[in-house]
Amino acid sequence: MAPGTPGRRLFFAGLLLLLGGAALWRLLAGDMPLSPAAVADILFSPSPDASPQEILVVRSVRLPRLLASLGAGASLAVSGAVLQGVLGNPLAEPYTLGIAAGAAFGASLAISLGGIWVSGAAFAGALAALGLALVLSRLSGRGSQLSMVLSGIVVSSVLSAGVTLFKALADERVSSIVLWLMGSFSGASMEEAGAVCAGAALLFGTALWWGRDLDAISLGESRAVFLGVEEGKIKTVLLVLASLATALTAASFGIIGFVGLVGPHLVRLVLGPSHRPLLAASFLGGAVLLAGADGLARSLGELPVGVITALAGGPVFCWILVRERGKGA
Amino acid sequence: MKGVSVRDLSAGYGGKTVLRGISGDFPQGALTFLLGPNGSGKSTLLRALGGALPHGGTVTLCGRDGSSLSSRERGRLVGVVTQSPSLNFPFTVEEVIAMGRLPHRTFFGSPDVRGREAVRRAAEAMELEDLLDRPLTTLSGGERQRTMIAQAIAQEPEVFLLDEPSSALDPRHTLALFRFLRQAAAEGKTVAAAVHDINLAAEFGDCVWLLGGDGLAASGRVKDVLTGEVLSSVYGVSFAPLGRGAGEGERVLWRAV
Repeated sequence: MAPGTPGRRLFFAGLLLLLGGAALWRLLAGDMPLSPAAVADILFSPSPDASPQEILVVRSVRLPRLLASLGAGASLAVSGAVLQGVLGNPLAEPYTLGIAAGAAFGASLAISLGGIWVSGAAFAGALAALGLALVLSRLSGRGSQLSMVLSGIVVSSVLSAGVTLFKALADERVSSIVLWLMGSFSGASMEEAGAVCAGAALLFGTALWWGRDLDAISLGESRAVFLGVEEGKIKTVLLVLASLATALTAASFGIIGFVGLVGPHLVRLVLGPSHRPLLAASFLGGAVLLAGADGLARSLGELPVGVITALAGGPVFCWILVRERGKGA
Repeated sequence: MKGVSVRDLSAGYGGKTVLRGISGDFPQGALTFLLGPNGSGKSTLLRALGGALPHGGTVTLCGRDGSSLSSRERGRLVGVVTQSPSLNFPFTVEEVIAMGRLPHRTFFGSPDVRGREAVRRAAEAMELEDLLDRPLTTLSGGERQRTMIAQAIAQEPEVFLLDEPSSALDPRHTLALFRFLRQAAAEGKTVAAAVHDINLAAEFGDCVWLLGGDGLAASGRVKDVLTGEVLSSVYGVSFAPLGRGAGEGERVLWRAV
């Protein structure tokens, strides 16, 4: 869809509308019934006309959880779009490349060592896992699309087992380990939500700035170099920032798969592969998807949100896989 | 001197050296063909000259030291067409051609009238006007190849480096391509194309580089280099004259026997 066409504007308007709808739902739904007016009063009035309990529920429970799920969704979807473009691989995303598991591994290691510098450890784990997956993929299949994902899944499996081990050694209950491995926004704090949103914004802004370079880079085969793009520098910076954004999400909310796959691919179906609109719509779309998935997970009795995203995203992954194979890539 | 000049160039992949001690020139205003057996380093040479492969020795592009050029400057100077067009994502033909304008973009990305004109003319040169809205992924091999050539044309470079640009083209588009490249050379561009068809060089070329062994086996004017004796020694098979080619001067066509 060409820039500035009514169709494209309608698509973005639709996304914003969905975003508003998701936010409203997540702020209003819950065990404590509150009217929209009451919620608005609690959020925006300096001295709200509500009970301390109601204020606590909205300001310290629902709002942080909403912001966390929106930020994480935006972060994961933009990471997916960036990884797919940088690596020229439509199957790439934080989960399939093992980045999310690496971050969770680093975070759980730091926590079991006494809880110092958890985000830094998550970031280091994310970078190490990505590096490992890319090296493995180069050694095993000269970096082909499938070998990259295969390597990522292997790295991911081993590191997820490591997470389980650390958590079990720390005497945590199985249910809380499952929440780590499948992700959860239950109990999100404002600080965590802020960190996730900051990571998402940093990655999004940088990737958007280099949007046209990313178009050329996504062609692969050094085309970008021949078009005067500083491919090496841009790829490195974006891989690091995508790892950082993913790490901030996984360190607080665990491993949430497939948002980075579903978001960008749904957008590409409508807007095409050009990166500027793709990144913008993935940012909004990812936020909507994960806030919605979290709402669903909550209403089904506080399931891990990754269960919802995997159930929805797995089939999409299969569809992309078949399509990519079909064209002989 | 303008054009491309190469001194003592060596390049390869990993630990394997493909080219060693290459020295020679692609003169400005001339169409130079790179010939040589499979694996003789034609693609490696073009990738190294295009800046996508580290190399030893010095390369001078339009009078400027290749190693001193920024990415953007190199992109404005040199247009490269490689063999495998990308199919990762369904960019349209027009989007792919327009990427050729990347090295010319300005900070604020103001509407680039000259750029749009360049994209239009590139599409026209490769007869892609009717395919502009089609995703590259839905096109035939030849149409994809024409799109990648059009991208380099839209780049408006001083130097064209093309790696087997006609490998998937039908005779009509092959002829159109080499006529276009001849015209570009006549307008002062420097053009180098690697091909397997010796007779494309015999028919359209000004100069020839014959790669063989791990270096440059012979180079010079077409009529001096393309002799039965030289061709036989490089390709390891006998060649016999096939007849006279079109175009100016003595142009002899060859076939392997």
